[in-house]
Amino acid sequence: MTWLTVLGVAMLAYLAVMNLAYVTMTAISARDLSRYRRRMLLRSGQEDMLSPLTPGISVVMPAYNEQAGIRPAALSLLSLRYPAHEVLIVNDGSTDDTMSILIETFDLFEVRRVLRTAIPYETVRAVYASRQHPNLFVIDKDNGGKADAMNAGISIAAHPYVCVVDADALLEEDALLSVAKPLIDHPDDVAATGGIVRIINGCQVRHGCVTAVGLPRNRLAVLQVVEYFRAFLVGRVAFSKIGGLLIISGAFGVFRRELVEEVGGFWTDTVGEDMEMVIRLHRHLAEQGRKDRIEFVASPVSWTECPEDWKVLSRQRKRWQRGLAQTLWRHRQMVGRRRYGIVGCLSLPYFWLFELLGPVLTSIGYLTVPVLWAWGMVSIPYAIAFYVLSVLSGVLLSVSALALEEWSFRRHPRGRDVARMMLWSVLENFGYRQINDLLRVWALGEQLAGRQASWGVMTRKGLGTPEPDPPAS
Amino acid sequence: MLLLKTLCVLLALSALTLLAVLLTRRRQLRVAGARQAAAEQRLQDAALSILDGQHPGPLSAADVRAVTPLVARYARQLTGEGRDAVRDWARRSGALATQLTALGSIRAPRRAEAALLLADLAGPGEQLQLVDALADKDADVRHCAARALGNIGDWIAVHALLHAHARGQLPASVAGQAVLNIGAADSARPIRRFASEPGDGQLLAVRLLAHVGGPADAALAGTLLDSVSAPALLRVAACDVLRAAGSETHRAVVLGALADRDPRVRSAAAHTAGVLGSRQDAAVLLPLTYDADYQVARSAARAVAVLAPDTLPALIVVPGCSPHLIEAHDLIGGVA
Repeated sequence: MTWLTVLGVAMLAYLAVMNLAYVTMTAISARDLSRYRRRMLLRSGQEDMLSPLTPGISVVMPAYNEQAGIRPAALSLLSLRYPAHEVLIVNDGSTDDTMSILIETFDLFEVRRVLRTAIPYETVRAVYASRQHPNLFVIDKDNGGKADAMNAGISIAAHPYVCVVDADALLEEDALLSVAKPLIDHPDDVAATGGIVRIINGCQVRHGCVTAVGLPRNRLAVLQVVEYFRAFLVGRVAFSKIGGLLIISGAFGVFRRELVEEVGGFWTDTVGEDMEMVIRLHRHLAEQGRKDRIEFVASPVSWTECPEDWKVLSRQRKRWQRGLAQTLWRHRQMVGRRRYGIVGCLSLPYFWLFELLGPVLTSIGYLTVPVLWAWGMVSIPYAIAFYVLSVLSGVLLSVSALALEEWSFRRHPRGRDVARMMLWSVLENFGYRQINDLLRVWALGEQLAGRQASWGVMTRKGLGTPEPDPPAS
Repeated sequence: MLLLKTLCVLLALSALTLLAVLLTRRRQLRVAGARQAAAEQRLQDAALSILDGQHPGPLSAADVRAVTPLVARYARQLTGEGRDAVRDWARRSGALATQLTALGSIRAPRRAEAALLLADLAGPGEQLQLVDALADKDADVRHCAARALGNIGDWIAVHALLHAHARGQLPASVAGQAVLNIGAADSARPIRRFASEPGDGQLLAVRLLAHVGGPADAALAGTLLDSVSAPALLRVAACDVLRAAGSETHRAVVLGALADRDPRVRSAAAHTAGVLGSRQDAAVLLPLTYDADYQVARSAARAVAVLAPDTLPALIVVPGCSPHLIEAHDLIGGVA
């Protein structure tokens, strides 16, 4: 048996295990979403909305140079349907007009508020209350990054739960009520919940609400729509079901405030603070012998803008990969330890093997196969069959995610949009995925070289651009 | 090589099958949706006449099946005579019997759907079946049955709902809201019984008393707050009851709880003192504004701001004054 045969068998085995994991996750998600769909039809949020027993939630939104979208984002948070919520906007040392827009729009005035000191954050310059909205507060602080801004917001939160949202996100009116449902029903058993993030590019937005769901014209954005379905409807639903959810998106997640304070708040030295917080919570709960769950809820939607050019996308993907690497490395002692249950024995090994190292292994494959072929060491039919196999497994996964979306939510009403998504779920395997893998390898290289990770600038069109009113008939 | 080829074929076939399923399902849903819309359009007049208490004309068994969800949906917005008319029609047309039979179906989704419809079609006479459904093995069925019992609004269900919660079959949010829907006049007595007996349902019952109870419940709440051996959350709930229904006679108990070991109790007591207390109590609350627990200090400062607002301007200029007092001054004293 030559080393080439061994390599070939190893690659095939890797692909087989990865696909087995994907198929299993899809099956778990399909089952869970089918139940969830039924539950959605049976239960209305109206009872929770009216109930005085529903716990209060403080919604924390960090904002850095968000002048284009801060107004509609804040308005969308204020108009959320929830019986008791406050909105805490943290201006993280913006250098643009974010703060002045907030002061002017919401008639803010300075108040002296006491912030908790359990978790650290940069100096708070001032806290503002609103004359128009008694449940709105704005914290103006020195720049310290997103995690630091969230920590400052949590330190002033009045309610037992905190919901963190991105400033470029639009929450649907019922999103908070839906994402909080597990906490409302089982306040002692649920530590955190997260909702789904969908892409807003191509949708119609009016007065801070998505009024019609559509697909963007930009191809890169369509590819990301399919990608998000895969990540949320397959990955997160399945991991949540088995009790091993590792990511609650920083764009939309609810945490029990007390627990976040117990673990010391969001870690500021990473660009993947959302995932790191969830893993730290798992670790803390396991070490204390507590069984609190961390759940993903599939229906509450936070809409977010995705990059439409390669430059911004590559920055985002590299940031995600570096955040993943930093987080996994920080909690490497948990891997394979029975003490950490499903998280230690299944979720973390999966993320190490397929999310962190997967791109490295596949990139090695992309690069070595042509070289080996050129040296006459690999037969062309074998290389082609292997490539077709990996493409088909990717297509199957994407189509499964699309099927799950169609089966459960059907948010894209136009058949043409679904057909386009199907087409791109095939085409993404010819170039897009490979470039993505290379970007992730690049990010790992940067991380190993110790280069500073940064958030970079996301060029936004602004979610609240008011469309012209239809002409009077 | 053969293995690779086989895998490729299998994956391609799976992807194609999924695509076919996806397209078929989309078409199926479109057809079903159109059919449903057409049926609703056709039966809308009949549904409206049922709500008006008039005879809708002859309806086939299939029509009754189709019009039932529509009538139930409309009935959700009604009370009084309109609601009675719907219940009467459901009884006469056999829709009620159909749903009661479905409540015994072997399929959980069917049972849950029946319980959901019964929330709008059933009356006090059908409560027993719904009470039985509170012990169903499927959580959705139990939740829908609880909602139905809340909608029917008969006090007999209160005991069953609280009991189901105590047994762990209903979350506090679901059982509690169903009880609240039944209404204060009818539900207070059975709630009181649960509130006075230590057990798994006691906390919810005390929390409910804060919303449906009256001055008569303040004595029980006072006793619970005074009982150091009672769980902290129960004593916090007792404070809620006292805030809603207490009087000056309970001040002493509340002020006594300000020195409790548990910060949650101290905070709730400070909040309650702000509602029940008098101007002199501000002096008792003042040291608490320096409490090491953030929430306690905050509640105490707010209570001081409510009880003696005119003293705040002088208090906040004292060197070393509690920052919570300054916050209370700005937020409640009205810098705005």
